[in-house]
Amino acid sequence: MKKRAVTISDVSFSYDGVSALENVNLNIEEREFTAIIGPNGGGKTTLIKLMMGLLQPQMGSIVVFGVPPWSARRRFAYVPQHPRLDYEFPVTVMDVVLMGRLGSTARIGPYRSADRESAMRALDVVGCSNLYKRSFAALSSGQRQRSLIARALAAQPDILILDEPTANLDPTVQNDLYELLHELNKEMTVIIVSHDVGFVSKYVHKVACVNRQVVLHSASAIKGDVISTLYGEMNVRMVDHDHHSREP
Amino acid sequence: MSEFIDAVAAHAFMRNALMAGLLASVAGGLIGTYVVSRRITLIAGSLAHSVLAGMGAAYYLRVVNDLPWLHPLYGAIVAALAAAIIVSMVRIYGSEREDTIISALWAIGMAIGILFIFRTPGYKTDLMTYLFGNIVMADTQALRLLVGLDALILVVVIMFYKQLLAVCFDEEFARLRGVRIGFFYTLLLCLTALTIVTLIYVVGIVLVIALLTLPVAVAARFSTRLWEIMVLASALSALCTSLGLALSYEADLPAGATTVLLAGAVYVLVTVATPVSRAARKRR
Repeated sequence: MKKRAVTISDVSFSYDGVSALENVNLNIEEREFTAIIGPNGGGKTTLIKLMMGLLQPQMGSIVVFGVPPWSARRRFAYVPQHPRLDYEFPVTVMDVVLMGRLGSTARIGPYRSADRESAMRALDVVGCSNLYKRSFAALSSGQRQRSLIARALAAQPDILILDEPTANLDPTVQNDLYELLHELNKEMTVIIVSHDVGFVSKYVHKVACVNRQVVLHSASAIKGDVISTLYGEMNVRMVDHDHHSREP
Repeated sequence: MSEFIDAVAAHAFMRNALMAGLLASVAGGLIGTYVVSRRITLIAGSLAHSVLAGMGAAYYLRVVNDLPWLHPLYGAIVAALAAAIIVSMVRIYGSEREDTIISALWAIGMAIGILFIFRTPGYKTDLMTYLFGNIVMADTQALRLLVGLDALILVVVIMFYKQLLAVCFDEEFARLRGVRIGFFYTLLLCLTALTIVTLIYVVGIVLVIALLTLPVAVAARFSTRLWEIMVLASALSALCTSLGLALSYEADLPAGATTVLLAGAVYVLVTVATPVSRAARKRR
């Protein structure tokens, strides 16, 4: 039987009195594939930071695998959005992936050989084991994305969170990424964050639309009225990714 | 050059000077690599200048209260660490604009130092010695202190290399992995402060930033791994300080400025010589 991974009950959060999230309720089951979508500034990042215990809710409660988020911090692995990193920084792909072992390895001294093996396995899973010696700065954006996912996997997480994973990736690479996430989803809970309502991969089980409040949908249920609630009366159309439905 | 080698063989102060340069190069190469990679050279500059407050105060107290053990370097250590902790607290708690505090410490530190040195009775050490360094002034007490600082910096870097790397590269991720980023950021700034103290004897307060960054900038052209850059930068820095000392001795020039110009010349040469390969690496 599946366990509950994350329970968010009546959570509200504001930054210096400016409300970011109001009365949010959201449950995520173990090994569920959830997409958190919504416009920029709608509170998506706040929501995942609350889950990971990086922010404390002012009202309501969050439980992760039966404990408060800050005790469960190491069960999360987080793949951040691109622009936060300094691409001039002198590190190899292996150096970056090994960072996923922090918190699991010895506090003092260098990484152990077990850490290296685990990092290598993670690179293997994302199909980048041949790149381990390369400079991180020299990677293509797709390779970079995969290396960062490998870093997250090296931490052996129960919940994998990806912030805007498809930004800056061309459609073929995006597709490969979802195939990879689908594979990973067999082992762990996957949460992706996106400002793009238009895309929902066919592998997503649950869609949480965040714009101060959270509205839940099953992946197939996003329709034009949902989009107009989120974005107002804009000419936005839903891109149909369910390829099977087109078959006669 | 033979004149210089003869001088090193004949005079203890020359050997001390050479030793001080080599010791400072180790610390400078290790910590300079973090400073350059993390892009906190401005903070390093501020710490370097605020050191004058401590040096001036120690110098004053030593003369006025007749405390011969109170080496100005002790004052330098206290002032540099205090400034490092202030900058780090501002960053962690975000209570003030970071760059404002950095600039304020820079100037206030110097002002305090100048007042102390001005008020110190009797024979006045030249302010220029502190500002531009005087490596041949490195006495045995200073050398012992440099050895201690070097050992401390080396041990801490070996112990926490991976955490410092992670905190410099991706703070948010490091925090999620349970690394206490506030602690390690403060540690990094404190190590930077101590490194600056070791370098001050070689090139002085004003020129410290050059020896902290130029060898690293050169080394970074030849490697993309942090620890390799550390080793290369230390070696290059050792070469520049030794050669700088030799050149300044032969040509009767100030050692600090000669060393810095040497490092600067290497940097310019390497930068001009390798733009193509670097651009190629980025595009690859």
